[in-house]
Amino acid sequence: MNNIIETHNLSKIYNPDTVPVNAVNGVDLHIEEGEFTALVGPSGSGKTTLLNLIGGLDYPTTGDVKIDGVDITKMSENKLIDFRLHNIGFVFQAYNLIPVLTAAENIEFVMMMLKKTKQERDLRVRELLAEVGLTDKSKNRPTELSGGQQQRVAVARALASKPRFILADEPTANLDSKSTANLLDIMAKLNIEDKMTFIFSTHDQRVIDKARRIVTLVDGKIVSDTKQ
Amino acid sequence: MYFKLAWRNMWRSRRRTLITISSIFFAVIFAILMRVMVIGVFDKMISDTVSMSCGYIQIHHTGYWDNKSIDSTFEENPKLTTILNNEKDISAWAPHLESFSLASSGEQTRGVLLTGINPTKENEVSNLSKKLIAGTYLADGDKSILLAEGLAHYLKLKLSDTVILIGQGYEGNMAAGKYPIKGIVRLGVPEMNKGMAWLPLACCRDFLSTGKRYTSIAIMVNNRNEAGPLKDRIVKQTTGMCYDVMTWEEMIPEINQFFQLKMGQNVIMSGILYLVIAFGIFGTILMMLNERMHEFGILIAIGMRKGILATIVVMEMVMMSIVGTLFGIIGAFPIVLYFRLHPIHLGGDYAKVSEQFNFEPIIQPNIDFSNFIIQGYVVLVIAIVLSLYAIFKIHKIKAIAAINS
Repeated sequence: MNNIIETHNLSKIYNPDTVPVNAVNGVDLHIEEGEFTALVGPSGSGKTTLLNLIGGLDYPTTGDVKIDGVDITKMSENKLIDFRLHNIGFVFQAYNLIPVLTAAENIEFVMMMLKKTKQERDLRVRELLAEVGLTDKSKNRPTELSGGQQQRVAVARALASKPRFILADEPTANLDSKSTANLLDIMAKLNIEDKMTFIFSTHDQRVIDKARRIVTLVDGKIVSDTKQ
Repeated sequence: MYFKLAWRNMWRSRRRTLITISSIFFAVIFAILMRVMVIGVFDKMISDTVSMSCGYIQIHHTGYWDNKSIDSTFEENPKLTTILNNEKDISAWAPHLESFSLASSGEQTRGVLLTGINPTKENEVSNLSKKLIAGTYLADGDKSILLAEGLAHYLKLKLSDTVILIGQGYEGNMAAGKYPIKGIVRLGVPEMNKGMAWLPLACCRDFLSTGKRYTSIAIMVNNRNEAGPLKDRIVKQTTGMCYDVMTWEEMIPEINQFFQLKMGQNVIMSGILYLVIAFGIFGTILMMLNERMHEFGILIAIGMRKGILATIVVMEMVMMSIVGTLFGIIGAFPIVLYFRLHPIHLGGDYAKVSEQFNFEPIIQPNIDFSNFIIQGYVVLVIAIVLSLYAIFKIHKIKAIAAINS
């Protein structure tokens, strides 16, 4: 399998001039296409920082991040925004849908930015809503959806641009058991059937149990990397 | 979609939107009120002065203005009458036969500006009948006189008493006559109130032995700003008729200079007001940007270009600015109208200062709608220019810092 993501000697030091904090410390990580990877570790271990660096939301202090062989740490901010739009899907802990848009519009919005035609957008929105089981909620705004439903819309939004992989930061942290199970089923299905690569940070044992690869971080370093 | 997003965003936080719209709404109202009040004061001052003296435009015999002699008069001219009657920008015109005379009663004597008037036409120009505080207004065939209140008081005369006039008539004739007082008039301009008197035109012509002559024709216009172009048209149409045509700015330049000076001062005051307005609007823009930093971070994270994000935010600000401006203009109108119908009467020192400058001590706003539009436009431009700050701010956003904010 090809590596989608490669990090080399990746470090992120916060406050280097005052009280340095090594949030990520010399991480070498390779993620292959189609993996379903969980980043685990205690609070402050650097899971979110690593996800942010892989997602191009932050620049490392040292090291590099290559996506399909392209070093994103050398990209300008604007190029990185475009790169994210085309290649990376994000799912946030707090859903972060656009509150004034309906479920369908939240998904369509990403394709608007990609300049897809109305016909293409409508077709893809229908597909994605069906995949996450929310066809009947297409016209509902986020406030009219449960937390689980909002997170499913967020997954659909992340998939809208047909990205190379999806980064999910504690995606189940705000969900109840039923919603968590439902979301995990959807993500697993997308991973198996569509070969979509998922990398998520989590504390949730239910998510860890579903993951096929578990990378454990402590103090910004990988202390274990196991496949199950 | 971007417009839809901007529009819905605008109403997402009603409190924030209402604060922003309110700041623009009140800014527009204050700017309009300040402008129309200032313009209204000047309008009143100019109108008070010109309506009781020369008009916005005056036609007189060539050379009369430099040498105001009763011999420098001109005869009634039907062609001139037709020109004036056909001119749509003229709201009213009235012939004057003016001369300085001595008015006397008992031991008291005072120099007065005596004006022969066509009572009907004069009323259209100066609303003289409305200034009556005693007696009745003149009629064409009367052989009686109207006195200004201050003059009557000085001469110790009351209604139906007789005043004696002595002066120089046309071509050296001696002018003398006595006239019963038909009415007493109170003028807003104190200096005028002390020394003016009016006779019907025919009676005045008899007194001054001028035959069917005038010294001048006073013209009022629908819009003060039209006086210049109107003068040019009259000059063109009366070429070769031995008339001088002058605007009020040429006849009483000191008033115009005072007006220009005050307008200059008003520009400074307006600048200060706009600055205050700008800070108010800027504060609400800063508040809005700070409240939404997390949201901006998320949008940038999922791939929204900063340019598009800035466009949406500026679009929201422009829409709020337009709504605030429109409501401000609409909201200002009844306030201005109220003060137009119920002018503010100044008292105390303010009144004394007003009188020093020879105008009635009242503040009555100007209701020319162009002032509403101009002020609304200025505030709208300020709001839109300030909203461009959002472009700068969004350009500086770091996605991760914004998400964590």
